[in-house]
Amino acid sequence: MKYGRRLRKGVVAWAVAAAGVRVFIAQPEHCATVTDASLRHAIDETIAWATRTQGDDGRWIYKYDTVTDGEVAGYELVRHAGLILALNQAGAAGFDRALVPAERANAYARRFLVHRDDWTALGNIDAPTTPIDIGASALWLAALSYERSPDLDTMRGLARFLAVNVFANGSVAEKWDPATGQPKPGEFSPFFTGETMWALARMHRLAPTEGWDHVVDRILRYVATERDEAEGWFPPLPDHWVSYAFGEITTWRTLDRDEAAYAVRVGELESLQIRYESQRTNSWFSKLTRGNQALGAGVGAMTEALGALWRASGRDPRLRDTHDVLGERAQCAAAQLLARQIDEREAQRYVRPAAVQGTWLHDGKTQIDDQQHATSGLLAVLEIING
Amino acid sequence: MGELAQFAPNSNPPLTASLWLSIALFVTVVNSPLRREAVRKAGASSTITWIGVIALAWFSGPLLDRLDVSAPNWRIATGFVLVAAAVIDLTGKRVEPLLFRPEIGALALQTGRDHGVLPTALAAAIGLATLALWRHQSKPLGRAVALAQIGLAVLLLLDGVFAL
Repeated sequence: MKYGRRLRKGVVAWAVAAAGVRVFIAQPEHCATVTDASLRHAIDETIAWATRTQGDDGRWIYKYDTVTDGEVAGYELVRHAGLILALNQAGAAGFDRALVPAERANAYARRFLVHRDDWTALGNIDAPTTPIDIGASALWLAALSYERSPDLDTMRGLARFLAVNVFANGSVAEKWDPATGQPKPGEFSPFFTGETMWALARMHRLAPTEGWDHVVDRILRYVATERDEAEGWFPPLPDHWVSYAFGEITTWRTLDRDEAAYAVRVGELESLQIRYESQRTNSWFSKLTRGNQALGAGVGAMTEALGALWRASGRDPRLRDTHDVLGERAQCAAAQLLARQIDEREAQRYVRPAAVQGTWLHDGKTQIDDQQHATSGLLAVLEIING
Repeated sequence: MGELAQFAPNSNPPLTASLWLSIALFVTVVNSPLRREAVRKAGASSTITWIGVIALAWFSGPLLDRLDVSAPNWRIATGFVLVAAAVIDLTGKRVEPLLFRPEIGALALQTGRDHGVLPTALAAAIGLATLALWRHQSKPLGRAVALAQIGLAVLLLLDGVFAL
């Protein structure tokens, strides 16, 4: 073949390959720079939303539909507790305005406390005699741990309830059954195990001589070595609550090889998710090749996980090599949140601007855990960029 | 490998794919048993190819940053390109005589980004050296090398998927 023709053919091959790779495989990852100011503004907007949309009884609109301008039925205390958690985390980080809606929401939660034996649980709203979700108590315990003067008596009661629901092998029940007075065996939540571990780790930070770390260690051993297979989670869970737990555990001890390997695996799963999510723009072509953008709660959870693992990797020698890249991925995740939060100008397009400004919408709806996870994630990245 | 690692910007597992994998892929991409005769007849230059690889490795960091593509995602892209190229080698009627093909470019960017310029130069030199060292044209062996490339490329792709 003549040289000129071969060269032209080569150039065409390069052009076609480069275009194909760029268009279908190596799409740009939109990781804009995040700043202290942009993060603080976003957090302030969510706190303002939580203040504006909170009812006199301390509840929020659980799920708001912008199309019907209505509230989608249902209210779960686990997510109510989750939003208190985010607000208390904000309060602990110096966002004082978060404390008012948090305290009103606390007052609402206290209406549903269940006391039995030596423990306290956050019960159910609709049917007090039905099995109690473990997660609501775990998240509320974690929320209380961020208060400036934590209510240690209530926290101990909640911690005892959580400990009752941890089985000998370290697995955690999804529900406690009042009919039997026992945790329900054989049913597991993808979230409650990590929430329980983290909440008890927070308890240990505040009461380090009471032995809560032993329960934490038992759960972590189970999660790190057998949980996904034993409970049938496939693909493996990118457990952001366990990531939070790592952030606490590394304040009092180093991780062993299995635990560190598990932390890295969670980081890899979170990284995979955010590298993919950051390519999504919601254009027609992006939807075709990458799907719809994830919920605010989803991106928020990725951000929380990466931030928590960054925290852990700053302390644990086995994770030190991962510190910088975890920080980068967390900032990329925060960039998605900042880009997608509804600002004041965008909110005017909706029937009820006050209900959407500061939120994250998905298919025209926002749920309180969108704001919960996003706010917690943004707070974590604020810590990263401020060193 | 430890000595070479000092020249790499970031060669600590679990953050990068193995340099050995890149070396093996340079060997399979050159695919001397399949391509040697065609390259010789066309007069394609190993030296120019090697220089091209080094240039791409040199600019890999700034280029991928400019394109907003992270190192793990470029590993995934390279894996796909290498699989496609191997499929073409397996099924194509003609053997492509060009050495500096898109798949070697993708591999140069990936190795450069993950391991640095000098390790990439070495890996490419090893791959290109097989043209001189392997003196027997063999389509069956060339096809076996292409099959091996598919397996190795999938490893690279998976490494990129499950990377931090």
